[in-house]
Amino acid sequence: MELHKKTVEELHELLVNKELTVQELVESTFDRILQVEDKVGAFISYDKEYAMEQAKLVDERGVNPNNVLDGIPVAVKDNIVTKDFRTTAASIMLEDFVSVYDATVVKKLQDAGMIIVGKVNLDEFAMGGTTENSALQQTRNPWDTTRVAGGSSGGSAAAVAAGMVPVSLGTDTGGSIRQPASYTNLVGIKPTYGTVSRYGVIAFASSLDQVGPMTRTVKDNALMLNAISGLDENDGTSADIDIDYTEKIGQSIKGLKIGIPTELFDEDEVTSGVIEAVRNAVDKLKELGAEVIDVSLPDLKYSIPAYYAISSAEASSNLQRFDGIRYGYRSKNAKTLDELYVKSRSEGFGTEVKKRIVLGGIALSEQYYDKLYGQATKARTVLINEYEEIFKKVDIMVGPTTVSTAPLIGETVETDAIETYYGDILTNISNLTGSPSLNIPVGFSKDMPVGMQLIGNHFDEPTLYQVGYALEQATDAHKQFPKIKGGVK
Amino acid sequence: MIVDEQLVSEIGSVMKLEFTEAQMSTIIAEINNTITMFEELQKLDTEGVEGTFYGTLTNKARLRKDEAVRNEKEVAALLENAPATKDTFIEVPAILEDGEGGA
Repeated sequence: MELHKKTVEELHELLVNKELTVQELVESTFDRILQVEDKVGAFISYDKEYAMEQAKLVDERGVNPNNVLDGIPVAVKDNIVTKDFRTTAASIMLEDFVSVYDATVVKKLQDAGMIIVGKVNLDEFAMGGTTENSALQQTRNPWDTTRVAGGSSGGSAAAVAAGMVPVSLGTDTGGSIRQPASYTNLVGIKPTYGTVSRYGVIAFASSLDQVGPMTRTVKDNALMLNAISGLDENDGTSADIDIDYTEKIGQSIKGLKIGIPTELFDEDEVTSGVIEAVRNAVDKLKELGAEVIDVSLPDLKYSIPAYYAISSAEASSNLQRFDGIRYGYRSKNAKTLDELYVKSRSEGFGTEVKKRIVLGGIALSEQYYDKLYGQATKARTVLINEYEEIFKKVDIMVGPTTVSTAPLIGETVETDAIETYYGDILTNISNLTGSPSLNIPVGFSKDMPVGMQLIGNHFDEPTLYQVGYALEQATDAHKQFPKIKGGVK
Repeated sequence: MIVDEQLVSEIGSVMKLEFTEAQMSTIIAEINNTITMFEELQKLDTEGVEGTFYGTLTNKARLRKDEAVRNEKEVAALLENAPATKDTFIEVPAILEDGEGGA
């Protein structure tokens, strides 16, 4: 039985029918980790003994037939705090940090009976798009281990794509769930801002950050979002909503209006292989009865500078808490308190993190505030208004998630920063507008996965899952599995 | 707008950061690379547009009660994360440069 290729729903059926115990499932999870992890490098930490103890508890009380997540193994991005594992944010700053509390999403996974098997790699403090900014290790793409798995949720993506776990949690500030999902043939959602509690998620840019699931199928994704969403008194931005994210799954998409923003298909930015795979998927949506309408996002190009000004400004403030006093890295080279702050931060943070703090500081400085941060917040309003106008005409928008398939390891390090930043042009905007956006696999270009993003109106994830599911049933991209060759952790 | 060593050092000092030579040159080069996109941003007409400063879609913050929370049990666990402690205190180096007032 190839358990590592099974979806949550398939595993649940085996567990309920007693063809498999949770302990056997977790045992097979760690067998798979032993088999492929040194080629992929997804996990920063894992704990078999702990996971087996949790599995035994579920077996003893019996798997709940009405709870599809009961006893299912899951990996958690290492910027989400856990009492039972270190939480490093892939930074020297937090290399040995153990939280005294669990994040709300972690509690929700545990309440759902899920077995947390470990914590997965990311760009340091989630700043980056390749996971190469991790201060701790390299993560490789299971589809081609000479390529990146994307980022910043690269470990979350690689762990699921390689079959080590059926599902994982990532975080998305500017595309960090959708882009790695696209690079590794997975389903990944950045939910509407406020849908999932950020309590216990190490803050990067608080007005943009959201947590979301990464899975192999659309249905599994919706089931996971059901489990982790909901009002949380510990997060002041958490929305008071109660949505069943599976409610439209299986419904026909006949007559749904799907907007195609021409700017997302810009041939100067997006490679022809990606455009072709996404166009084929759009044709399939038409065959399924959807009405396709051209729409325009004329100010899309401003989303990049607006995103970097706002996210860096917020990061510069959020990361001030790391001071070497109460937790985290403390420099041994400091003689005074001020030196302790400066040296602990300077030795604990990597170059990319420092650069963003400086950029944020410049954006907020008296001299540049109006031109950078101030203008960026206004551009954000303009982009929100553009989305609002489009959603008066269409139910959802679709387009490529990324401008290319996964780059080679080291490739983006050599390109200049601005080109790397423009790599996020298709995803940043939905963080600025707070809108939900779902990546689904739609095919391959030169043997590497291509993803399409479905963008919805606020809190309309059910329609994204409806369309994603309809397309998934009509295609077989999501059923493809990587061979995982070569590579060294 | 040009970002030079002086500006990065000034901001670094506010942000309690210092840089190696290699980091300084990378940061200056990469931020200067992004300046063109920030110049481009100025072309967007935002006359009369209000800024969006928060992510919340209702623009309403849910507030908690302004009450002190005491959780004595957590003290030991919290102190375990501190790099240096003495009894129930966190140790830090001298606060004043002459060494007075330090632990």
